[in-house]
Amino acid sequence: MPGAGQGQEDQNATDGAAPRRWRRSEHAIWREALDDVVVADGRGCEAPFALAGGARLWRALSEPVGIGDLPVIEGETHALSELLEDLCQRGVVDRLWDK
Amino acid sequence: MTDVLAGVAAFGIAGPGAKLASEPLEVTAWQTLVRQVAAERIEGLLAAAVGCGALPTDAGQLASVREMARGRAKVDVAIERETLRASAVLTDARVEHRLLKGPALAHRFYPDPSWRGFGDVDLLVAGTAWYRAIGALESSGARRPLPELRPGFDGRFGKEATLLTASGIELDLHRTLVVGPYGLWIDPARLLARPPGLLKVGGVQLPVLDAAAAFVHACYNAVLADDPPRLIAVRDVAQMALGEWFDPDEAVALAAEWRGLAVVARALDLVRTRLGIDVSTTRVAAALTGKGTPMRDRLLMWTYRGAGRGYTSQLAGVLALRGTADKVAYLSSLARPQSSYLEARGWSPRRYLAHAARRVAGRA
Repeated sequence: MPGAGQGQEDQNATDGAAPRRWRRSEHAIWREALDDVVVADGRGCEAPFALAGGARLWRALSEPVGIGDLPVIEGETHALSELLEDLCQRGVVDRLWDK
Repeated sequence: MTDVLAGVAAFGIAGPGAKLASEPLEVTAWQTLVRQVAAERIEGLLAAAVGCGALPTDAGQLASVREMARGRAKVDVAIERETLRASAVLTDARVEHRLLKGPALAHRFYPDPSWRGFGDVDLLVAGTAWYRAIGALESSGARRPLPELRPGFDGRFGKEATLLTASGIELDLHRTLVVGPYGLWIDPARLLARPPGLLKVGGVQLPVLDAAAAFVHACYNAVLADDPPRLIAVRDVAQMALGEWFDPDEAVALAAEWRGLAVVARALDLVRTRLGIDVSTTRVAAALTGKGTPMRDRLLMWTYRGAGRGYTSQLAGVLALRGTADKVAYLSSLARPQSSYLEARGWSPRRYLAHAARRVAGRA
């Protein structure tokens, strides 16, 4: 079946299961600044914010990617899953569940 | 120092191996460079040059570049988001428009949009839709601090109106591309009738000028907007001419239609003199070869120079108008602005004329 196994975006999947993959929101706008990245939700009002050392992570999120395949941000004190949740809350990353 | 600044502005064109310096600059030279880079809005190019080792830095300089690049990125992203909003407002109001300069160039013609910083939102609308566009943007929370010179002036003769959006970002709404004769020789309706290019940002399709028109506009912006020209505006010309993103014959034909062949030739010359880049072998330079321009058109470029260029180029605009009625309406608007315009500037009619005279004389 074409597309079988591909991540399906489903923001309503709140059955407690952890999302399998993540990717940038199509509404995100950003600029890289050396190894940092500055991001904002194009639909939102929150000021653009910098993800220090996050340029590699951001590039990796251009495609659906599992947490184990994401680069670690040097010096980031939060767990990667917490960081991704925060980026989702800010509207710049989407969670993807496998259906 | 100037060589390093020009090298930063031209970064990436000469190839990845080109070095701007063999060791970190000494303190004074570095501080001067940082100040100039910020004034030219080329922090992204500086960061790219430092990031690939073309410009060696010490730890303090690297931290400074990081801070500058972050600041520039925040400004660019904020302006880009405001661009999405303004375009949506105009689309909802059914106002045909084109995004100009800034993001329209950064995403289409540069290898990385962070290389091309900008300071405001620029949108082109038709003169016939001018007041509807202003009304729609004001309804969305933008305000216009400075009224038009005289009622009806903008829609008929104006170059642009500056609005401040609800979030304090400057939005320049354009009726044409430059002030003065070169702006009045452009037929905005024909420009807007050209099929737009499309740029996708933040999941939204934005209408932009087609590549040939964008190139000619970049030349106008480099030659006629600022004196001295902004390096990033000259870089735009180099970036597009060398990238050959457009049909050069189409661009030259458009420039001829706008009586701007001399402007395009001058822009290519600026690339050589300001950035040290030879574009004489590009297809657009070849397409320009043998295209003569009237002496009068070349002389009019001088009205865009000096402290009084805002006034001198506007005055010269009368030469581009046809018919006595238009000339009289235009000149009387320049000579006797409406009271709300003068009040917004804190001027009496006499002080307005005195200020204009001082500027034209180059004394203010």
